[in-house]
Amino acid sequence: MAAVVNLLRGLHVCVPRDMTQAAGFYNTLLRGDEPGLVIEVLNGYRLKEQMPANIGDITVPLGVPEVLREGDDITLVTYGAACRIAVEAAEALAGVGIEVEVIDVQTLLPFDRAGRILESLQKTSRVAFLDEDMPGGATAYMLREVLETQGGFAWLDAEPRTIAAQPHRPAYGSDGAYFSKPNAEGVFAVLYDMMNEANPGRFPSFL
Amino acid sequence: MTEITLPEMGEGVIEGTLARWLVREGDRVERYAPIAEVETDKVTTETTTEAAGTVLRLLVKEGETVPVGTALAVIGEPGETTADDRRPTADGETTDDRRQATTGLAAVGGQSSAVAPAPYTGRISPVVGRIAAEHGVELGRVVGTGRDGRITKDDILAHVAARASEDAHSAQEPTLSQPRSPHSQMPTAGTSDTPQPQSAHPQMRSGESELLPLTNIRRAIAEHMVRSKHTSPHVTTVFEFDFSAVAAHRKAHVEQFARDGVRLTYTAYLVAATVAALKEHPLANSSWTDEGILLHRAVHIGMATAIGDGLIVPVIKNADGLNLLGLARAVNDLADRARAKQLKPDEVKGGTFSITNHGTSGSLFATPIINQPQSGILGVGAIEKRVKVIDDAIAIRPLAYVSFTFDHRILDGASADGFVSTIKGLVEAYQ
Repeated sequence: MAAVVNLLRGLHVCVPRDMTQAAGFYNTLLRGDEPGLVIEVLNGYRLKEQMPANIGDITVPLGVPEVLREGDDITLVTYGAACRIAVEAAEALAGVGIEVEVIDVQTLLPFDRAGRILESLQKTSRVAFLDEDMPGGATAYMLREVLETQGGFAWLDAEPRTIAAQPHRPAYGSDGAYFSKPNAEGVFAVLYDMMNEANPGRFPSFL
Repeated sequence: MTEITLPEMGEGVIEGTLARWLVREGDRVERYAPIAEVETDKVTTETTTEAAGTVLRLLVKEGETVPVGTALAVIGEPGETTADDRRPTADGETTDDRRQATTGLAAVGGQSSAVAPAPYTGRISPVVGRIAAEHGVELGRVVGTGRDGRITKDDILAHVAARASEDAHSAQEPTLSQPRSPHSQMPTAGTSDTPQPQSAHPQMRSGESELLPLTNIRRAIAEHMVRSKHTSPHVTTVFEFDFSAVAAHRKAHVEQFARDGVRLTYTAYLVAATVAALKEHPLANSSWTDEGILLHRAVHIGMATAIGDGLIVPVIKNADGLNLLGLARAVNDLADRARAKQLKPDEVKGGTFSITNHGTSGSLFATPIINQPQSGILGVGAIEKRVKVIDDAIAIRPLAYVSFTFDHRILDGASADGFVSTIKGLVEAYQ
């Protein structure tokens, strides 16, 4: 994904988390005359979602993230297919008392024009970035946007983390995908470790 | 005229509670005479005077907790007037008021404000640095609860809030000092919810129950026990030891040892066997850390000893360098001095393994709690003659149940049982 973002500067790069959001981006882009790219989630072809009655009319604004889940402890910034994993991990973490704010950036270019992620970081002071790209790919791009462009550094109380795929070609099959791509358990482990660092008494390390 | 101050009582001890005065104002004292009993969270010790003379003033009330270095009493010649010989009734600025102000302030960060705080050397996150700069917080005064004691955003916000409310109340009655030890700042979820004295149980109001105030030792025991159960997954395994060989050896040597002024007890044999087994099973002489298991080269055996109002674990340092006579002497000496409350604070620190001899009060077997950060504790039940089938014949043997509670993060059933089997083998074949 980092390759796409960096090679296609000048285009809108939309990364919808499901087909409904994808439809919204098509409608938005078709109303303008600027070039854009919509990267559909492959899983969107398999997973069922409710089709909106006004599928031809809905629009999704460019550069405006959506908060999928509110929380006070950690801001988890993600997009596309990883949104589903992020929410799943956030629900599991809520079970141990960690409230994660999951933010879907929706478009990588432009990136969070409203500064919604910074607003969240000011509340949580902890941030992690999640996607299915290589380590140092689009997570690093988002990290730079939030810490440097938005000035999030001054609000950090923990090392910012990136969670990405394993640095190799994806292994075959569903179990291969589970291993190669980030999964909810791996996200849980990283975010729990951040809370353990902050409060080892309340969130002890475990085997 | 000499001021007697609360002495340094060991590394990490920052305050003490004056349990009891042994002298009264006007008493004549000799040099090095004990003048007061001081309780820390670990031990109760006597404080002595370094000057002879007459006790002119006692500056601290019984039950008051004061930082190390606080003046406790003034010793001099009768008729001498002390510099601050003003009684609290005369004007506002009295010794008592000043002292209470100090304790009040100390309660904010749980640190003594009489001494300058040690500079904070941990990592400062960007947001903590910002808040510290905005509010002029000296980070050395903030108690860090993050990993490795890092000051987190929550810690510094709590400090700022506590300081603000302290400023608001400073004109009023100072909030009195819950005695806090460094251990009470352990980041357990429980400590922050410690009920305040005013939140009394319903039975108390109706007069059916009575509230027994906590001594420092009671409070420290409670904290250690809860923390240990919270920290380690405890598993207890129980073996039956045959003490025939030890009993025979003891019978043959008890008088010889007595001539050396040593009471030869079964405990000494157990310590000897345990030390030998620890050498063979280094995992039992270790501590869990997140980075790995810390194997201790030195063997320092803690001996749980009941004292009047609690429990203390004096440590036999370098027990692997002592023979049976040396161990028996160390066991005698530490137990006697523990009961007489004459242990030095450093003598209850640094144990790498513990033994508790609960059998002395008749207990058959127990499930002891690990003395953190050790990996296990050996509990010895009462030795009594019981019927045992040996080679299909009924025999009468002095037997005892020996339980071993271990940290299942470090040891597993098989490795723990292997360790206890080694001790059993050594005890049963003692020559």
